[in-house]
Amino acid sequence: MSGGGLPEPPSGLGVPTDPEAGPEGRGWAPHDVPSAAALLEAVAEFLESEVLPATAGRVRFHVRVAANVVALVAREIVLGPGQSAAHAARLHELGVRNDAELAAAIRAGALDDRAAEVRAAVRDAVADKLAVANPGYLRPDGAGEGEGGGADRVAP
Amino acid sequence: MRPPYVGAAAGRSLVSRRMDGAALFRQLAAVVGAVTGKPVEIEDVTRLPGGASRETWSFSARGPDGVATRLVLRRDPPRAPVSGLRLEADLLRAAARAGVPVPGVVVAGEASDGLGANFMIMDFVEGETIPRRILRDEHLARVRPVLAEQCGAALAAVHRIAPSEVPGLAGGDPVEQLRGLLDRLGQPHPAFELGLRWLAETRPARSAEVVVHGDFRNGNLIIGPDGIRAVIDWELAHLGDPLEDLGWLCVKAWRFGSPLPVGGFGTVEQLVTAYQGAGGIAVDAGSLHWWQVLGTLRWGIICIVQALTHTTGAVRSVELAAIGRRVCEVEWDLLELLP
Repeated sequence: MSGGGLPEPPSGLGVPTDPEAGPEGRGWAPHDVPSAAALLEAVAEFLESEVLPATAGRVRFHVRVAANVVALVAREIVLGPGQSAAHAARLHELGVRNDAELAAAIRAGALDDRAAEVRAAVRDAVADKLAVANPGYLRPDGAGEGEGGGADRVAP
Repeated sequence: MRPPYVGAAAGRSLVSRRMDGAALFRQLAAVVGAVTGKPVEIEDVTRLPGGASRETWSFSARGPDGVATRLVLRRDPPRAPVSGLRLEADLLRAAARAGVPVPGVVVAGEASDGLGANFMIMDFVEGETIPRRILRDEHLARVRPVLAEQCGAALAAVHRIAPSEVPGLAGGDPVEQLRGLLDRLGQPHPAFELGLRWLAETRPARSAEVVVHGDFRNGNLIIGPDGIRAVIDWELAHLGDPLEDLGWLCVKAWRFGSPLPVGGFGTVEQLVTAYQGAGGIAVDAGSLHWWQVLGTLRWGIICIVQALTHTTGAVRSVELAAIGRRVCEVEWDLLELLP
């Protein structure tokens, strides 16, 4: 106890983060801790450590998918703003405003004389998407988490 | 046909969503009883995993002699516009005649036959379908090394099916079809455009036109310790180039982290040698690579379709929703495959 009947704060408290710093600073003002990302991480941990062992079969599979989705959104909250800025810069460099224009330009051959640049830009964008969706995918062992559903089933 | 997996909760959902339980059991009993010519009692109705668009259930039919027969019900969604299930039943019967291991078809019917939707009932085939278990379970360790060869032989049999025995299968140009589908989805994907350009510019000559399974992969094979017991899920079958099925089986999504390129369990050499040895056409390595690229792109677009099935509200499902964020895995695979 800190005295005066107050609880002792947990050890490991860092320097208070700047609430104006946006999601990369772990929160949007005026909201309190935990940040949105930290709350989602808590939900993902709950699903994995407590719900998963208590379920079976189809529901268990969907709990695993749900936990992965929640963790994915937490990563997007943290990484998304920086990735959006980087993507806008990539598109600007190629003279297009969005992915639809880039896709159309590739199809029409309008960027054929800049094929290497286009390829690199597309690759960087996909790598950013993977960093949010399944960061393990780019590791040498390949498939990453891979429980997002789908690859276990094709049924359009 | 898939392993026992789900308890009573899922069984109840079949009942509560569609009709009252007593009526369903009575109608299943009537349909099966009419085929077998004996009164049966229906037991152990269980929803099997997967089947986002088409439900799959296992159940038992117990006859007057007390013997229970395990069966599988496939059923379209209640308001499915067009049923492919009758075609799927025709395919299964033709595949059996061609020597493909498949479940026997007991009966196929339409909504008016009493099950609330187009349906097919077939024999239950015991075995494993979950890809990760097929790649890791100890009791399948001895069969894994020969699965790629068995796939080659099974595919050669699939491609022997006479197209005239399954009228109604669609054909067409696969590159144009993929481009057309992508456009209808309204989701721009620059990586897929790079793939479509390469496919259009490097297209090999069509080697033949045969019945293509369309989804022949780890996950749609029932595997026992003796190998492939049945090839299932024929709903994407169509007319096309035989190499389409071989290329699809080499798509990275079916490896589940394994370094082995064919379904995570074998090599391309094993697959191709067995395919050719069982009567399949000669396989050109460059053409096979082209079909692997096409298969990768096709899987990516199917993932988008599945995600949109959720977002449009057609089928609400966290599983379908999550698939949308796996599209980037396929984009990465595609870029890795392009020269």
